[in-house]
Amino acid sequence: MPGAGAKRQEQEPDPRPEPGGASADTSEAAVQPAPEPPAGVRWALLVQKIQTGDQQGMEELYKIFSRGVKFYVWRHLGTRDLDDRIHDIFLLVVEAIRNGDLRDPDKLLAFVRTVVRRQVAGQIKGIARQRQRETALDTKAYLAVDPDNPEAQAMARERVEIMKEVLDGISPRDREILTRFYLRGQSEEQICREMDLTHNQFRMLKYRAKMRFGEMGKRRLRKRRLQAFFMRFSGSR
Amino acid sequence: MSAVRIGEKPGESRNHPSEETLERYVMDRLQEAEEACVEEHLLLCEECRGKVEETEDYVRAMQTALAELEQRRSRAAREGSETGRKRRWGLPRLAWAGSLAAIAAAIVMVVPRNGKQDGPVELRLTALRGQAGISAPAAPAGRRLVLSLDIEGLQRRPAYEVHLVGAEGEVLFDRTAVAEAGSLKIDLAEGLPAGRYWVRVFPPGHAKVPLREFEFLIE
Repeated sequence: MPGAGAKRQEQEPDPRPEPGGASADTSEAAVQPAPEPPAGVRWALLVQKIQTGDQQGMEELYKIFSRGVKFYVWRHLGTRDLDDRIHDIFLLVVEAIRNGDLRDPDKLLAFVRTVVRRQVAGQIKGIARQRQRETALDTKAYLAVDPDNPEAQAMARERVEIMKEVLDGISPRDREILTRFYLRGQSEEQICREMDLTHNQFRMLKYRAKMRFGEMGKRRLRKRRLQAFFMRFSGSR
Repeated sequence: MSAVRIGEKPGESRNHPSEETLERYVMDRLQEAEEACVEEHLLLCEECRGKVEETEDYVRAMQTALAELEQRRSRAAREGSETGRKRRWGLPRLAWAGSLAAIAAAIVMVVPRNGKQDGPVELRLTALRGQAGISAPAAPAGRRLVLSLDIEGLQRRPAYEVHLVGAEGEVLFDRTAVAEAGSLKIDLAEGLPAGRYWVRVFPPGHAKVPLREFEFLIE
């Protein structure tokens, strides 16, 4: 962290172009390269181990990717049969690697992602058909809060109540802007154009709402702790 | 096409998607290539997975709250028109006066208090060589804020790019500013919420390595 008001080493920008030609400035067209593998891991070597049936390779694959895959599957499909689904996905990945479907070992990350996405997409379609919903639904939304977890549901409800307090405390115009972005799915560009906002004003508005949400949440938590503290002494539980 | 921006906590390296990008990801608003980048990153990065979870909770709360408020407003509008119809069928005059008072009170209660006071606060941010332990300058929250950035000693340029960065490394604000008498003035008309902030000065078109960075607090 820089020191307060302290002067950082001043550096002139390197006028030479970035290696690979990618610009890392705030250009809207910049897309970053794939992340590096974890320390000590080489994708090519890992793929080779899996292709030769090396058990250690398969364990390493699981160790590196299990949490990430679990997260993706959980976000899209919820907690039901989660471990089984992850197990199936890993079997598919290993089988595909052994069949030679992964031509470039350095693209292992993208390959795993593709397998996971296809599996999840297939299962989402299955769920939607099963439930025979009439209206279009965002699957993630209705699976968002685990119905078997009342605590999670209560927390989600509390977040909504805090957010309503935040929204009640801002101007109708600011509320309209947030409604357009979060609820009606309008793009930032459209909102700024139609409501005569700059990009900076839009970002600041969202930022303020987030800060207020955080502050109110902390206040409620402190209040609850105080209540719990005093209840210990009042004899009521 | 919106970008996968690399956010940066002050002092840390650039290898995580920004909060803005993660929010767009959670809301399914990324282009395909950007989405692929983010998802590949999330396969390996626990920290960003945690941020996605938080962002999702936040967005969901926001969407639900906005939807419920919209429903409440529609219901109130419907009830208001029904009440109007009932009045036309002959409520006593005193009831009208009472209703007006109730509406006036409701307006007073609903309109948020404007905490802004008159007059901007000017915060001068200077480069202090070798003075560790100096606490960051501070300004009050919610007041119009004019930042005056000392750029004495920097190579003279016609303009500079200025970024305002929040505590999580997200860029809140970027603007081109022209130097006047050895400083850059940045006017934040709406003020800022409480927190820690950094301002970075870059040469125009090269927002990679800042020429100078300042820290300040809003209390």
